[in-house]
Amino acid sequence: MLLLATSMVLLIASIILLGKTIVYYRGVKRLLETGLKPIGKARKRYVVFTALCEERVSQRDVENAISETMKKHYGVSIYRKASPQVILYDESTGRGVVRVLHAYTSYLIATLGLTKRAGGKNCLIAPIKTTGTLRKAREILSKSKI
Amino acid sequence: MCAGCIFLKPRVFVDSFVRKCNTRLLNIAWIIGYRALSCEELEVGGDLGKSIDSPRVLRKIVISSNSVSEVRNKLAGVNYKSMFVTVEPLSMEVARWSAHDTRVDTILITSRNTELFDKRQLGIMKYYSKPLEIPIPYLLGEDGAESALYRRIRLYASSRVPLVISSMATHWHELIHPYSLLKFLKLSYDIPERIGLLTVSDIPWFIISRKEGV
Repeated sequence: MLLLATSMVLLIASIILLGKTIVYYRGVKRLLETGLKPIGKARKRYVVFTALCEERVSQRDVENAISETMKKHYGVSIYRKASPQVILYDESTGRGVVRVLHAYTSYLIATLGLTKRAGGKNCLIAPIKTTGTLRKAREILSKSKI
Repeated sequence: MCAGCIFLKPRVFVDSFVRKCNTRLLNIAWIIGYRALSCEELEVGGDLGKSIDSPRVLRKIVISSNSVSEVRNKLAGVNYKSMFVTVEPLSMEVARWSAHDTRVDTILITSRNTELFDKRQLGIMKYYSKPLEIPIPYLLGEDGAESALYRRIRLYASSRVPLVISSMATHWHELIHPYSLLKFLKLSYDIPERIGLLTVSDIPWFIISRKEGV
């Protein structure tokens, strides 16, 4: 009988303690919250382009030329955030795809137009289309006539 | 209306100032979307610009002077009805005079004459709807004084003076894709894409379409 009474008292005490802990935890959590929105997932865009060059240029040359032009006109901070990468490039046709962070697509398109030299050769890079998936970018790449 | 819908309407992109036109430059210009060019020097003759897959070509003359009488004399020997006439004023008198002369199609702003484009000049150019031509090398800051240009472009664009952007290209690789140009104007000079589009399409095309032989 005594054992039963003791266990009942302990159970009630543990329930009260749990309630107090939850209230305390919520208070601490509210203090830690800064009211800022969580950083969203970085979305990407794929820009299909064509490089019209006087001679063949490699993928590395095109990527370096785009990077240098972006740094020159918009600065290193924009370049770091945009992080343009040439992920597909066909040397024979000069067509390729650049991946960029979605918020910096305009910077990339402007940069492509301003790029005049790649690998020491005169080049003119023309953006063709911007897509949200690599699959669609590949389709455009194969269908493009430029 | 969606933001990108302005590009759905087919546009005639025009480059209103190319220094040297040759076959290669014309082919590249056609590929990247230009349908009319205004060339200072033509390196090929014959039926240039008359074929289906080649842009229309108009001769261009640029008159740089600091005296009104000199500009008048040069204009007297120019067939302005079939040529694109641009004046680069080097003095205040020439700037004011060329703003109201009907033979002058555009007024060129360069690093040599930026200070001439003040509010009074703006008023005259707005009254006579005289377009202000801005070469891309100057926009890119290759000549220096970009901040002065930025202030003037903002002032003139906000006052609805027609603007014309030209490449001033000597070689084919100096051309710039019109879509890239719009983005560049938006990012570097805060010109909205809707106004930027007019500077490379409707405004220069309106000038060129008035000329004979186009």
